[in-house]
Amino acid sequence: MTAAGLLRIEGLSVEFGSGDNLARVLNDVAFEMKPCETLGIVGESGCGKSMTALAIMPLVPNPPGRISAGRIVLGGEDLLQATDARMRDIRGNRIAMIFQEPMTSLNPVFTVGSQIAESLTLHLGLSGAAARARGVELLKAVGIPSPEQRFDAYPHQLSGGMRQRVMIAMAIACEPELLIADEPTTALDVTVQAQIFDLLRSIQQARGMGLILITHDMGVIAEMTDRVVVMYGGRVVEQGATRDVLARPAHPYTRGLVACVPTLEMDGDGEPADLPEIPGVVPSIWELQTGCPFADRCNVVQPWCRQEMPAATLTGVAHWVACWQRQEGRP
Amino acid sequence: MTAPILEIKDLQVHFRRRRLNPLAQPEVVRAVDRVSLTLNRGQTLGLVGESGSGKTTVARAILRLVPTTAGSIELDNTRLDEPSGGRSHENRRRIQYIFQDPYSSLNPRVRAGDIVRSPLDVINIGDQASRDARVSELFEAVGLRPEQRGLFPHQFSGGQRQRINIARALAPDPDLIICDEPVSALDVAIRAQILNLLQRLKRQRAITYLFISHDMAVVKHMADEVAVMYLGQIVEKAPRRSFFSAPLHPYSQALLSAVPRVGVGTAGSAGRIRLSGGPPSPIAPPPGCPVAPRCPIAESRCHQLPPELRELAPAHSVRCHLVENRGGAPVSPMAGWVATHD
Repeated sequence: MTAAGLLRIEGLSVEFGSGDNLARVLNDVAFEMKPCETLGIVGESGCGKSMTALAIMPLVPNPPGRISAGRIVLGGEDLLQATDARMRDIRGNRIAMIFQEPMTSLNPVFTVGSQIAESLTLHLGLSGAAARARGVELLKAVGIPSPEQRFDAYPHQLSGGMRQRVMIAMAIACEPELLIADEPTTALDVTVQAQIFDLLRSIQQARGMGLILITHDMGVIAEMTDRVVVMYGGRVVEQGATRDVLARPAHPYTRGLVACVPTLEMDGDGEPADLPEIPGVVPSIWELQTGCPFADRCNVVQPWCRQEMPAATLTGVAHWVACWQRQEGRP
Repeated sequence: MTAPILEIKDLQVHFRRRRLNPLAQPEVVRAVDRVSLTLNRGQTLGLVGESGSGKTTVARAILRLVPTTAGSIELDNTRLDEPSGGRSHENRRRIQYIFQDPYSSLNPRVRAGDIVRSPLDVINIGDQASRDARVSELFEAVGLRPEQRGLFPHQFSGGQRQRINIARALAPDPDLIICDEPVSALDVAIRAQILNLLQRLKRQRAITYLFISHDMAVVKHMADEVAVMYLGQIVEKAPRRSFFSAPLHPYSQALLSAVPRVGVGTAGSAGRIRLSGGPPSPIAPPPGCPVAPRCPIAESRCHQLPPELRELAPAHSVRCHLVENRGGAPVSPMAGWVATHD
């Protein structure tokens, strides 16, 4: 795309182990993001969602893992070519991340204020009273009541929703261009989840950040994101504008994900019909497949699906799918 | 309507917590406060609420895993909350439990077959050969292969482990199974498999479920009747259809509107009923309605006077001052309310 893009990922592959114990956890992942856009990454556990986020940081644990191919370009700069010192400057400053479990991602022995102040000191050179003032301002911005007192609170003194707000305050401290939220509400109740999403949405609009939202909930994707990337078995199987993908899911896996969740929409009087299932389970990362990773669970599988992975093809406006069903001809 | 199998009347479970000062009154956590529920044979009662609302404590009280402070629990007219009733093997057999976490609820050092067999051994049902045959039959019933009996839990996926949990619960041929968030820890695609399995078993074996969940869509799919808990109390109780088509309590409506939906898209968040903050502490509950501090339409009486659970339509009860009867039908106080954004 154009130089105006915020983030561009090309041919990203991540491997763990070596020789006979080689596991390809990401395989040729590619997508782009515009500034201020919300991109959803959806899929089951083990499909590579979180690994994609770690690769962008890049925080893939090495060893045993390594990024074996690809480019991650943030505002014109290839992050995989950057030095460690340069990355420390970017991480937490231009890219920030919010994790799933707000309890384990905050340090229990430091006050939340000192944890927020850390990145202000490190990246912005603020110290003492200035860092504190800015920290209190951030706590206020994420909707924490009486922020002056909460600044000196320890994580265990806050509820789950409050902790996640603190995590968000830490993440936006340096006004990042890109915020990655990895299942930010999975551990929270639905009324609190709604509050956190409202907060993320308003912060994003106010500050013009790009937001990558990783989730397994198609409802969250529908409500929060502009574009969606569907991942399966370490590969991107479908991507496009969220409304197009949800209205006309082209990949059998996407269709299954949309259909298999019970809905609140009212149906008839009788007992609800069985949910459409996706049979089987996610393949193990240690099985090196040659063909489409979804072939074993697919309801429209063809013999050639197991032999070769189909390339991504265009099926609508900027709507890509990797499925032999949508290919002209076959191998 | 079918006959009731389990009746819970005015159940209270209070926990006392000593304070540092030995002379001070101990703090009392009202985990379950005057809860009455009836489970009908072959039906599913969905118990919903946020974490800390007391759903699991109700389930644990039924199994006598926590002492009850007051009230009664009757299984076919046998008092379960009295020592003789609750401890008899026969009553233990008739109620089984499926836990939320399929990883921590199976002993990692016991083979899957022995896990499923253990209730038969403990309650002493049948002889050795018939127990083995029963285990094989159960493995097939839940969609596992009988030859997988010799494997250990770590050799199964999350969904398969939950199938082992279900097989163990089915083993003593129970009448009532308590499902405590049985699919929350599973992947979306696996959830559908487990929910379909539970529904099929209910049809085939006429099992009654107490289905505990915080996921409104899952409850709508599973339950015949719904009870919403908040801070240890039932705030609304209704048959599935009237609950999901016309919920009356503002809290129920907020719960339903908080669920992100595929069909509604980004418009879904616009008309949402927002609850501010989190639930109050069960140690010092507010004097009036427990929902009042978060309720968008609370009036002064809501903050002062605790509302009673009132039956306003057939089998539809609600604990809210503001629900009115207009022309013979209850009207939600949220009708005509428009979301305002800050």
